[in-house]
Amino acid sequence: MAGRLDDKVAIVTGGGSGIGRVTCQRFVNEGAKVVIADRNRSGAEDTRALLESGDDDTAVSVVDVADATQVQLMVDQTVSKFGKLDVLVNGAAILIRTPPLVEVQEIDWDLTMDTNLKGLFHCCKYAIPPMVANGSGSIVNISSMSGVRGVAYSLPYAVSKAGVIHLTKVAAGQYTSQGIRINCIAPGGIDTPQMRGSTASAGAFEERGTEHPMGRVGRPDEIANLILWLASDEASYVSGSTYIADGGSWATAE
Amino acid sequence: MDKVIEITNRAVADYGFRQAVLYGSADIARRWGLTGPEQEALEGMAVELLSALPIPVPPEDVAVEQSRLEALIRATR
Repeated sequence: MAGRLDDKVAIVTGGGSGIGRVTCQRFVNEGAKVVIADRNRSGAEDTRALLESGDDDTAVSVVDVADATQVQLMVDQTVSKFGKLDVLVNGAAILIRTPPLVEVQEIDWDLTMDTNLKGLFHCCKYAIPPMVANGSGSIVNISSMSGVRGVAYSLPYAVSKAGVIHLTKVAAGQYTSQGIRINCIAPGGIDTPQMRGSTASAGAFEERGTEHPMGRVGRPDEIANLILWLASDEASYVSGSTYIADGGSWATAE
Repeated sequence: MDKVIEITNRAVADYGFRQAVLYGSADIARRWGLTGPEQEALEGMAVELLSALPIPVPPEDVAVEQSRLEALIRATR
């Protein structure tokens, strides 16, 4: 049976854990060749070990997306190894909890923006040219509900994720006519190591589920399914959109 | 070594910041303006200790872990 990403080549940043890891699994299962990109080498290699694929169909790229030179190298090596680049999933991000605005330290602002927004900009900047040369491509940017409605626990994170939504819209306006679809997903609370780590305690994490209209937080595969659809040709008429995937939480709050 | 302790304390209390230290310790050292020996302590001892912490450190254990790590890092200098 044909896979939904047969013959596609994808880079997944943040592929070493959480949503990124499950996305790599879904992509490989649908026939894609996948580059697992992450700063965390052991996490990326663990993801690769989980994939039901030959080594020729996957690669690990240890990359700090905040560093333009490293990102350019990642894209160049991908095209060199697999011949092209069809899909970019921008999942790499950090979440540093901060006090209210007046007390936010500049270094926390910079760390967050450099990874979450500048890093995503770098990845788009270097991925789009080979996609344009190939006549098509799909970029899926991972924002957050924090970027839609804001959150009190981290101003830099919320602002960076709002920036991801706007970058998506502007970039789609610039490159859709050249065959590049650029979309965004804003997940609500998802059960990932990052979310568990950024929640004060295991008890507090469990409470988040009980307060949710579905009685639980989301699973990484529930976001990966949406990423897969946007990456695939099934979403051929979709570009410049941001999809909220929060299990109805925001709608209920409204 | 005070800057290394400051960075380590923050990394104990905040998992997101801990990830920034674990996977970007050279970048953190640059941003904090650490000296050579300080950077060595961060990239060696501090990263090793932080890697072994639970995710997250329970709020009631944060102060204890911060004190424990500080003592270990200072003892090696």
